[in-house]
Amino acid sequence: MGYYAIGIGGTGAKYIESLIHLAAAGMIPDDNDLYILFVDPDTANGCLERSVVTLNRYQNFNKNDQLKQKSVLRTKILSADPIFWTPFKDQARPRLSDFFDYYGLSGSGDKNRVAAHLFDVLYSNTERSATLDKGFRGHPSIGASVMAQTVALEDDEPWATFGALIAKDTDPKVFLAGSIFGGTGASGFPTIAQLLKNQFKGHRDKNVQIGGALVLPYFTFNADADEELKAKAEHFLMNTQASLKFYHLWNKTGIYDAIYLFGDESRVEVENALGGPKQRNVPHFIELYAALAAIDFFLKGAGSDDGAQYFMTAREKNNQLEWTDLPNSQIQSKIRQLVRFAFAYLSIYQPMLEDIRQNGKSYRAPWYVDFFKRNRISLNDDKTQLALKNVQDYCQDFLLWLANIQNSVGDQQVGLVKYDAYTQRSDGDHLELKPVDHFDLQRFGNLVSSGISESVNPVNRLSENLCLAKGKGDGTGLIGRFLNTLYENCK
Amino acid sequence: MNRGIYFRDLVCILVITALFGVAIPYVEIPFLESFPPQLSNLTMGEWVESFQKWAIGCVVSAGLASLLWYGLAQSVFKAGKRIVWGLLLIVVVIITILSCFYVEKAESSLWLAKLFFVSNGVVPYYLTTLLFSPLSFKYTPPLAELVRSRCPW
Repeated sequence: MGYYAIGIGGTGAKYIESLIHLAAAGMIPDDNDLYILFVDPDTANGCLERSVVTLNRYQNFNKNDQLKQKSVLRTKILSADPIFWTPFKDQARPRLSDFFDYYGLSGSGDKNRVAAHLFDVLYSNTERSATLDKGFRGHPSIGASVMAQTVALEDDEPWATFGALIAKDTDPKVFLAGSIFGGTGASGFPTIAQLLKNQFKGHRDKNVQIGGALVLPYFTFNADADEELKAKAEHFLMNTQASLKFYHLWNKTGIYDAIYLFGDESRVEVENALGGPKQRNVPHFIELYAALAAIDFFLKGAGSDDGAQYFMTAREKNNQLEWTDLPNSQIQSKIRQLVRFAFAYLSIYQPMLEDIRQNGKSYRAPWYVDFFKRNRISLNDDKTQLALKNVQDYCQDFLLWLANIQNSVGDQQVGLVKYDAYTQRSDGDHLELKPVDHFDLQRFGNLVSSGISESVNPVNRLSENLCLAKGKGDGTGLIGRFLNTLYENCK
Repeated sequence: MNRGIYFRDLVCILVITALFGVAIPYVEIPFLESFPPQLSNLTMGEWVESFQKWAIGCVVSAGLASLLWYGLAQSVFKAGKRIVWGLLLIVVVIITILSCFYVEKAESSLWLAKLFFVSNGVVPYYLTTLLFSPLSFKYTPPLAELVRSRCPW
């Protein structure tokens, strides 16, 4: 059995980003493989780019033979090739009119002219002529028609591979996520699910279960005087209302086996960007909820009802978010373990490895002698350096993501992680990691509260436990044994 | 779990040091009496008393240095600190040298007494820190990488 996650649009990409980090923390049920696909016409989108970077870092860590072990980042994540799908592969500045050959239809026979007139009724001149390389500009009506026309599950990559994998799988679970209020997510969410369901409808021995997370408005941006066709924050609620009515009527079609809906009353303000690299909204806890929904669906699957199941969760206080507000009993302990691992690796172990590489004196780090020196792992070896860099890259990515999850909520109080122990504000008021020698080691034990007070200095205890392991750890990769032992002692 | 390790280490340090202390009246003095030094102005009993005083001083200084090393390493330092380990060794060596100088003079055979002073000062300090330094400092004493890694603890 495999799990398939499809992120549609910018919010969908950020849901995938969260899902990757939860996979890193070991939250994917039964350690099944996870297959990831991004859907976005705006391939230069900043949110998509960041998620792809996270995915690459995860895979670099997970695939590195020297890092192989059975605890941290153990879930195998497969990605589509190409990693994202766009309906506009060969077109630099696609337009709806070109896509449906509107001008060709207008100038030809009567039948085609009728189609052109229908096109006139459905789409305004602005919608027909707007370039779509930065997405569907908050207009799902454009996106739905383009996607329905272009998604080809059997012929076109990455759909062909995606379809083939599902066809081989005995009990595949597919989970899609996107925003309900924008363009790409709102149009792709019903369309792609329907195409998938149709594709596998005839297979008797196959039970393709499809779940989805629809994200209701959770951010806003200032309106501008620009008359260009684009998503407008003031339309978000109206779009959402219309979409929810649609899904209510659509419920009995049996396309989705489960739908999870999320939103946030207090909407965080983001930069007003049409798309492209500038649309780089920081991670938000709603996306964490969406990723948790995927995990819930992977775990439970479809319900017994004919229609989709609709799930609801709520926070205890609407301006606060605590671990107990997240609908998963494991998340606090799992994230805590990964935070401590990443924090300790970046601030203690990697700097010491670099120091030993430059200055020797390995007696300063008995764990180094036990795990590295005795196994003849040379720190000057390029492969070792690459492996250690892979760990560093992922740890940095994870810590920053988690800090932003907490920081992205404006005036709400979020008590998930004490991120100021390792982050600082940049000139542009964004969060960035502190230099590792400025990480606050005193707060290592309380980065994520466990509710248990630690009487012994946890940094010292961690170091002692690593020394106590005497180079023994679960893993086939030589550095993997060290990482496994470090991770297991970060609980 | 680690508290048990601290307790075990401290007990072992004390036991090893005490064994060296016990060896003074039961091994070293009988041995010295078998090879008595030539004395001119004092009796054998007086010389043995002087030897025993300085020998105990060496053992006690070695034990205190080992405990101080353990305490500092466990609660103050972060890693390595071979220089501190070396400074404590120097303190023990100085006390050993002082013992050699200040023990009542004999005209010959003092080399055996000097050998015992070394074995009462430097050896217990090295042995206890070699075998029972805190986990994060277990390879700080020279040659510990060879020895400690073979120990079952």
